[in-house]
Amino acid sequence: MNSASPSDSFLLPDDVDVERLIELFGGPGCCCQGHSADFSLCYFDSFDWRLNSAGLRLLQVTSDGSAVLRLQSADGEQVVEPLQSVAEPAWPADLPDSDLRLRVSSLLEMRVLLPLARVQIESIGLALLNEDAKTVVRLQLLSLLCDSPDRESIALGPRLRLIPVRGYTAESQRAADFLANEMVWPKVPPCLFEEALTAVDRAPGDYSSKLKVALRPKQTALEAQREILRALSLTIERNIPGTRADLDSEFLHDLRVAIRRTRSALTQIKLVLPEPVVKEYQQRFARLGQVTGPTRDLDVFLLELPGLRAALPPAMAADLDALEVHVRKAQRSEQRRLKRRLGSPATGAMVQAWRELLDAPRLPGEPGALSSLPVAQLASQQIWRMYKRVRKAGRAIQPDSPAEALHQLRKDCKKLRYLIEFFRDIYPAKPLKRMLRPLKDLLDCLGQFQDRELQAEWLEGLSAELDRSDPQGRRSLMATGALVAHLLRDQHLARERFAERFARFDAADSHVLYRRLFRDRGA
Amino acid sequence: MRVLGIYNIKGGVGKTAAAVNIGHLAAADGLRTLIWDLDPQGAATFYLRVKPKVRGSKRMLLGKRDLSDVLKGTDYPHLDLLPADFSYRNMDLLFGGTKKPTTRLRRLLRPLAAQYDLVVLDCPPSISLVSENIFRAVDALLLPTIPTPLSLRTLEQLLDFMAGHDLGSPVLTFYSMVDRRKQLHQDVVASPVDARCGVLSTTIPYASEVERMGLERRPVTAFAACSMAGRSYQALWTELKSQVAGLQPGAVFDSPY
Ligand SMILES: Nc1ncnc2c1ncn2[C@@H]1O[C@H](COP(=O)(O)OP(=O)(O)OP(=O)(O)O)[C@@H](O)[C@H]1O
Ligand SMILES: [Mg+2]
Repeated sequence: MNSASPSDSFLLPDDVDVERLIELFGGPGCCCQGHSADFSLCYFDSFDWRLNSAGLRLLQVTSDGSAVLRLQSADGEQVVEPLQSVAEPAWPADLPDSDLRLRVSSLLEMRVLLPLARVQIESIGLALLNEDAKTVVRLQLLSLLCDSPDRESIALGPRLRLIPVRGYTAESQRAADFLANEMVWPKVPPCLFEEALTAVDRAPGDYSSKLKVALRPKQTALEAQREILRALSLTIERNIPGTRADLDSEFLHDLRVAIRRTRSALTQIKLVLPEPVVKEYQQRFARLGQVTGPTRDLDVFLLELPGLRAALPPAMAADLDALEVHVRKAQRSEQRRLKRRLGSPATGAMVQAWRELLDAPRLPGEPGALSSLPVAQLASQQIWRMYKRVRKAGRAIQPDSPAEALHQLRKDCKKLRYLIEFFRDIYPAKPLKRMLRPLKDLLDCLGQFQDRELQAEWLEGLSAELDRSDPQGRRSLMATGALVAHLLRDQHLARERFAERFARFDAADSHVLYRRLFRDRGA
Repeated sequence: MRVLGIYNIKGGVGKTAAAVNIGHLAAADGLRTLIWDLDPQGAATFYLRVKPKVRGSKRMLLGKRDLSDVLKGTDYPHLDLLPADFSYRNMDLLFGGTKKPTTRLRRLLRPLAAQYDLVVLDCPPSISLVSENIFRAVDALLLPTIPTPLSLRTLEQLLDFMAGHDLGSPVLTFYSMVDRRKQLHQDVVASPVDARCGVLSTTIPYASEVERMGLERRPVTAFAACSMAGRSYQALWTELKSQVAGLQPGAVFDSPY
């Protein structure tokens, strides 16, 4: 016996239509046709599946000109009150004020909602009747057609949905048992999400900004490096369209991270790929990285602006409006330039050539001296070497060391972090996570130290461009000045935190882990 | 949740017909609606094709059994029924033996607030402890009145009673079973009514379709929406929405997913 529940849905064989259903349930005296209705349903999530990662589905259901947004758990349960909203959702902040907006925007942060898959639903109502010809179970016969922004429509199997009537659960249970055990129709999940995605060739979590490379410890260093670079090149390719369309700022962010990681994987995994390949692509990716810089700097400033505003005296905060307008204009023009550069034939050709090179059975030129080493050994050696370098440089930093020393340390810390993340797969997960935490915290601190300085410098440069001929302009000049002071204070705080952060990275127990994981394996 | 009591001291004035049709129209508007058939004779229950039986009704009335467990869905989306039970004839006695006997009904309804937008009470004819419970439970009392001088006197008696018991809910009346051919009906409809009571301008005509509800076992508004009687109930509901706050069309959205 299959267990069935009174509110199950069943997949229908192709030859079952309304007439056949009425017949199956005992004829017109026992089952009658009711209302028909059309619905359209669309699922939304961010490009990196933030709602899905939190076990949530956001869908907009439209019928007859009205629409609701629903936030559901993976098993179709309602999570917050549905929200009447006809507009297609995009920025969480633009949704009507509600619990739904609160939940969605806290998960999405700076990411925009994108449509994943749409399902057009035709529903025919049916009712099962008792001896008083009263409805005791409602049924819906559903035909479903699925599409997405880049997929044509595909029909999902028709299905029959049971809707229990209050106070008549036994009747629904009987109908469910009949369908499950006598008709032996398969049950379908109450939520269409996965089915609809599969139909349009998507899968939940099919993009993540986290680098995931499947490696085997015995693999050669060359194979592993190619694997890592291939994963990164995929991330680069997948983020270019969204960056060009400026859907949200994270496309560019992820693109830049993937470029930086690629450069790091090229240069820090030493003596593996043929030297000419490393040289050529090192340069090409450096150039691509530069192209993406200016827009990202402006994006970061705009993302941080609300927080920065809040740090100023309330009377002054509004004076930043002129600055914001100026930065937004600059961002738009840099974005246009970036769009052109990323869409250029040269960039397209270079990305494609890189992918082809990585996919080719043989690489051009002579592989490096360490190319046939087992990856575990090579990785361990190089991580251990970089770890020692970071430790030495960090210990040498004194309260009066120049800022340049910290900037250099930041670079090395990043290299260390990337190396560990590239080869994550061949090390035990738990100790690795424990080691990465203090390293990330240290990087945050060094990042704040450098970024705040750069932002302050950049703002000072910008204030030269602000119009100081009218009182409004002078006020925003003052506000910008206050902002610079705030940024420099922030930078100072980061410097004060450094010693403590570094000490945690350099702690004895952490050192034991580094030695065990990397020095011993590298030998 | 709004509670609307459909009440009259007199029997056979069209209370049940109004309760069922208004309940049906409210549900069709998307309001999650419950009709409670408080009359042990169970006419509303019969019209909605439900068996006039509430398991554990005594315990339910004493608040010892969850009301939600005895509710029945009807043939109409968003319209549920709390059926009549023969034991309701002893409701007076039952309530009389409890603490705070006049607010029992109000307290029984309170837990339903999250599930329903509107509760329609189809009340038995009488003036008793149960009626007082009804007056204290409702947001508005709707009185079908047959347009005869005697009915108007009964209405005044009721308003006196309510004033005497300090019952503040608004009272609205409408003329029911109006026979246009009767001069007397026309005269009464045109005459002024006690100022303590609002008078709806919609009247429900005497019509055979309403009687047919007993055969059809459906609301007139379901089987003869376009008949004179069907349209009158629709007009009554529309007017009611404009007079009683909180009856605006619901946010209910029926979709399979
Ligand atoms: N507008 C109408 N036209 C014709 N007949 C009607 C109309 N309204 C009600 N009736 C009939 O009059 C009878 C009494 O109506 P109904 O049951 O609605 O009144 P009631 O006030 O609820 O009665 P009771 O006090 O017994 O509960 C029923 O047979 C019903 O069909
Ligand atoms: Mg009645």
